[in-house]
Amino acid sequence: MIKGFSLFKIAFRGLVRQRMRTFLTSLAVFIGVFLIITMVSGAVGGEELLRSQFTDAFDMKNVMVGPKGSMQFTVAVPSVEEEEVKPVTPDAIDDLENLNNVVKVQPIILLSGKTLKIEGQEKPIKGIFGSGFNLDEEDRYIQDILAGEVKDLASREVLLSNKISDAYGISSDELIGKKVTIEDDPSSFFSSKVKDKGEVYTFTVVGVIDVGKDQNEFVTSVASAAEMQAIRGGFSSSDEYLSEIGYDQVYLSASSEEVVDEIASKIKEMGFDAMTVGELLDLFGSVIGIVQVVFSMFGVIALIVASVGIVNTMIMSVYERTREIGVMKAIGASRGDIRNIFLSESAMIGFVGGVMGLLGSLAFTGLVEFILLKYVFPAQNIDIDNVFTTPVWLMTAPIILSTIIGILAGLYPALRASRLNPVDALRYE
Amino acid sequence: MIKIVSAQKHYKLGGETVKALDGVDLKIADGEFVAVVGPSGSGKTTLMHCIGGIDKLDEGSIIVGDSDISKMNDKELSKYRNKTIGFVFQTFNLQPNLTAAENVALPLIFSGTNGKEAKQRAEKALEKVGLGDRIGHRPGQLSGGQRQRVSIARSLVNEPSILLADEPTGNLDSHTGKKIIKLLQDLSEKEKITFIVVTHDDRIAEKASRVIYILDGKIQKEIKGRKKSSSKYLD
Ligand SMILES: Nc1ncnc2c1ncn2[C@@H]1O[C@H](COP(=O)(O)OP(=O)(O)OP(=O)(O)O)[C@@H](O)[C@H]1O
Ligand SMILES: [Mg+2]
Repeated sequence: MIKGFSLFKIAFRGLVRQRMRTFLTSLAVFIGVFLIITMVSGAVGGEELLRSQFTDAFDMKNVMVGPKGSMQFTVAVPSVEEEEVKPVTPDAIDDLENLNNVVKVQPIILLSGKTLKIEGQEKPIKGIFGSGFNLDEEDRYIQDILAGEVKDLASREVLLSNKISDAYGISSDELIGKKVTIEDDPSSFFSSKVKDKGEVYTFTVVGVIDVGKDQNEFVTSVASAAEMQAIRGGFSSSDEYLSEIGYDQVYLSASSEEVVDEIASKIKEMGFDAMTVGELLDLFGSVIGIVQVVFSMFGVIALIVASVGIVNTMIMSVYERTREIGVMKAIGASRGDIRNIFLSESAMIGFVGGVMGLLGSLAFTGLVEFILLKYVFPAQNIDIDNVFTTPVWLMTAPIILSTIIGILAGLYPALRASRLNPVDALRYE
Repeated sequence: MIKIVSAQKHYKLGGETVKALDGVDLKIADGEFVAVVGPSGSGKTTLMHCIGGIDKLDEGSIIVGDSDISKMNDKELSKYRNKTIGFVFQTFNLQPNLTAAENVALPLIFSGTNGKEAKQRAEKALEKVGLGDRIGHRPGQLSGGQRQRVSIARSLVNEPSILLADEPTGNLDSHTGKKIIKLLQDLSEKEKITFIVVTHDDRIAEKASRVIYILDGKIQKEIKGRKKSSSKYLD
């Protein structure tokens, strides 16, 4: 029997002889391993990105509450018997406040599909989102107070997001004290039921805040928002609106992270939807998990295709080297030797492809990460210092896998080579 | 001692049966130099393949020393081909991607010798055939005579007791062929190796201690002694 290192050398010589073919065959392995390593390392990093973004934007002590059905992320199946949805009324807010370990309850009314115009500016901004949301300056929701102050808003007072000042290209300070008019935007998808422009409201800007990645472009007091919605919906008063339609969302803060789940389940018993930040994280995490699996499957498919390529290459190689195999047998190679030579060749194709895949992936993810960290994240104010994580197991496992695939793919050709009758092989022209 | 007893080897081609070996009985003593002659298609190569353990008899037996090679399994046979037999082919049959030294080292590698030792012994074997200065050349960079020398070095590197050469000069000009035969004869005589050569060249046959004439798979005649007239047994 051949000793290990000599076997390696003979197999290596066999491969080097058909450099191009060896390279092309391992290219398919390269693609498979590249995809797997890149996708998995991206997914590991992506989950970290998600988590850090979440813990940045949300407090783990928070619970989001809404009327039933408002927090389902799946497509709702229309039910035959329309169930009466229990609105989040001011009474319900009282109940929420009375729950154990609840420290803060902030009801929110969403105002969407508005047009906003600032006094002294030519053009209005369409497609504006806003909300009625009682904020205090320590609120986690506020990333930064850029101008003016955040206080209990009186009616007709408004906070604008820096997106507005950016859109007009004016400084935040200039906005303070300005009058803004806000009205329904009939062209907006969100107010498609509104035929005309509806009421026009005039507010005074008291502050400009940075709300990070949130979509809100203006914040009024809950009372102002309720008033607007009541008039828009034809209710006689805000109280009537709130007792019939209720608040759209409620931010609830618990005294500690530990009690969050318990509070959420109590709220569900009350007939509302409740979602903790943890649940939301899990939900997004599982979506990322699916993406990870799907893309890794592409890699696995590429490896299966690659294995067919290896089988093909090895069969061709055995065919071309029939005479050489005969000679090797004639001078003393056993069946096992011949088998091992060809198995080593196919294993090497797998291994080389795997190593190329790893190096390719490291280079690619390194470049992408460099660009993200240097140019994209600073611009987006994302504070993350790695996106792709390639732990040692992720470097070694795909290479071991591709080598094993090489061996498996080489099995049939190698056995065929080993079973060649030496005379037939020698007489083969 | 090689003892061949009623060897039969048949090939079926279509409806016809070709009797490549048809009842061959032959004894060859250790250290003997035997020439095998006969017309094309008479079964010379088949006989060499069977003695060399490359082909198997349909019937009969070939006993080498005290073992019957027609009863050996693959492992024993490959060891037999590796250690007992040295084979020289008409077409050299060197591996084109390996250097001269690597080609010569192959039989050693197959018997489990480590690479370093194999390389040293291969280089020594190449020196013996006068190619000490060509160890790093590939077959494509060598002349026909040089290639055959590499192949002779390869056949002898594992110190076999039987050297089989199937028309070793068939692809060489007569001058080079003569030198090759002289080399084969000298080396086998020096190492006391049984040397069996298939040839169409009567001048080679003349040097053998015995000439075996094969026709249609049978031994037609055997001529002993060194005083032979070529026209008697060559076609
Ligand atoms: N694999 C095979 N299939 C069918 N017939 C074969 C096969 N191998 C050899 N033969 C036949 O067996 C006979 C003997 O062949 P062999 O090669 O031994 O002849 P030879 O004496 O060496 O001839 P040459 O001097 O031309 O080399 C020939 O008739 C040949 O056609
Ligand atoms: Mg022949």
